Amino acid sequence: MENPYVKLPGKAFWRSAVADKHYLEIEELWAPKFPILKPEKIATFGSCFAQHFGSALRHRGFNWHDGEPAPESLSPPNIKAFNYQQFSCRTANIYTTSLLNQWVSWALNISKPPEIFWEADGRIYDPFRPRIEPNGFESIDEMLQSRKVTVEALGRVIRTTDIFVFTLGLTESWFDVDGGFEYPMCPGTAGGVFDERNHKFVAQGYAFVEKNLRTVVSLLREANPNIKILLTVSPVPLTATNSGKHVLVATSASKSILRAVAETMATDYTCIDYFPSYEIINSPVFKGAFFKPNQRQVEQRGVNFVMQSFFAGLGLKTEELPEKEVKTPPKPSEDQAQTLADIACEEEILASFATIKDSK
Amino acid sequence: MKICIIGTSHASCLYPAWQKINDNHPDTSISFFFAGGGYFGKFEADATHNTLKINDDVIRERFIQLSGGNGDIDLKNFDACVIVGGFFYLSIGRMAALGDEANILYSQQVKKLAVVDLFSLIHAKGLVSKIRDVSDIPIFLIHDPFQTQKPGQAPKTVEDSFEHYDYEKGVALLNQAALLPLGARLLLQPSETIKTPYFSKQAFALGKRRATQAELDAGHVGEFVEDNHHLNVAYGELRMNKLVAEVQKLQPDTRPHL
Repeated sequence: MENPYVKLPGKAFWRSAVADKHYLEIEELWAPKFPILKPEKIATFGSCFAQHFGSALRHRGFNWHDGEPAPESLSPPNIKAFNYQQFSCRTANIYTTSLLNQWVSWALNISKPPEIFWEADGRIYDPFRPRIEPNGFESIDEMLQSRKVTVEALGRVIRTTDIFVFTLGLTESWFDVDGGFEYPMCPGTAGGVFDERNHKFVAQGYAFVEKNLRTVVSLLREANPNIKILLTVSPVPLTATNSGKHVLVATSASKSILRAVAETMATDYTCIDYFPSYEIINSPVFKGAFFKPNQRQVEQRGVNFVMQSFFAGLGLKTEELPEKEVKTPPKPSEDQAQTLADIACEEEILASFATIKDSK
Repeated sequence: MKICIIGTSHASCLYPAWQKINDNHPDTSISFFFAGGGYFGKFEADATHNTLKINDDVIRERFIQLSGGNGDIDLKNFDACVIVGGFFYLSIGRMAALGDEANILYSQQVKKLAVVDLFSLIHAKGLVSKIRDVSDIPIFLIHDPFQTQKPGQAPKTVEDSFEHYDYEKGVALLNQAALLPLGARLLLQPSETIKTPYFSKQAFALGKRRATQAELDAGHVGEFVEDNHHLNVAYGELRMNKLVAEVQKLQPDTRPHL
């Protein structure tokens, strides 16, 4: 009797799938668990890298679920400045599974967001979306109303979307001890004031990340029994770590936890699939070719390769997907269209707190 | 007070109206410069002479017929300038939707930017900019009037009709966010002429008019067409009476340095 390895396809073997190929010719990286059809609504949320997914889906004519559209006449530069069309709702970056759990709970009326706010220079900022409007809001009421609009939009998206794509980003997180809620960013970085007594750092472990994601999945499926979920792990290293470890080591730990959780979830649920953005960018096989000189941000060609692999997995060649004219308001004479690589990442703010140390 | 009116075909009912009522306004003189279509791009701003020059011989002749001179518009000669029409791409309804306080989907900042972006697309905006290049004269704008309703014509949906949005609030937002910073102001269509924010009253419809050569060339059958987009001289009289009063009242507060 032949052993099972005889019947395995070429992609199962390192030599044929990797060693004998130029890295740009590595293919069949993803075979989707369930079909993703063009008419299906696809919602995207997560860390900064998730913005590339939404942008690519829109530009390739897929039915990217815009659950909180901008005013029809808002120009492309203002759409970007006010964080429309970055995720399916204006939740801003959702870096952790616990933060996703928090948003989903609000959206499905399981809990209510606290009516907290930050104030600076006479303007009001949302601690859960500190950069959602560049100059903050006119009043507390306006900020709370805006957050309410987003929460309600998220509820509608959850209930009506076909595919929910979530990019897991971080395991380091900050919680409000008194309030029991999570901030997307450490207070005092993107806004607000840090309170040592009340703001608690949590380096999330495997069990915590998994537990929150299982809760999210349960809530999503209860609200939308036919929903399918696609998980991906952001390939972008940490900008900074509060763990006490070297940031390279902390990055490895964080991404390992997220990757392991994603693998467990995709194995345990038929409605959950995993897409290997992380592997494509980070595997040594790709020689770090897709990173910018800072070895952290991803080059546009890296994003392109990731999305090429995504669409190839759906059986679609890049040449079969002409760039679709995305329906945006008529443009003024100065064309300032949004670029794929131009994403907003609050986590980048942490880099500004670095001090240059002498290195040995 | 000397007023200059620069307009599209929507100014054509104002000219005969003014001939009828100008005796009621002895302290006001109005010079008209209007022609059909979206021709504002043919104006050239001459900052040295505070003048708008029209780079089209046919339109220039039209201007000469209307107001004499050489067809140039010397803004030094006027106290206020009124632009009529040129709101081809501006959806009054969208503007109203943005300005309505009941619209809680967007922050005030977003609404203002959206209306500024909306205004940047309209034909009249280019003319406002050119006037500002040569003069700080107060500018008033009169938008294309609401069309009158053809028999059986209805808005597609309630949302399309924008009936539930506040037209006046929309104009107020446009003025606050986009126009007053430029020393310009959009005037409301006289309420007496409005049936809904979507339609003007039938009594003010232009109705039948002679087809243009362009329409005949395009295959229109017949010498006359029903026109429910332009309004008549009765509207023109109401409009001009109000316009004189509004310009007199608002002119001091419509300056770019304010």
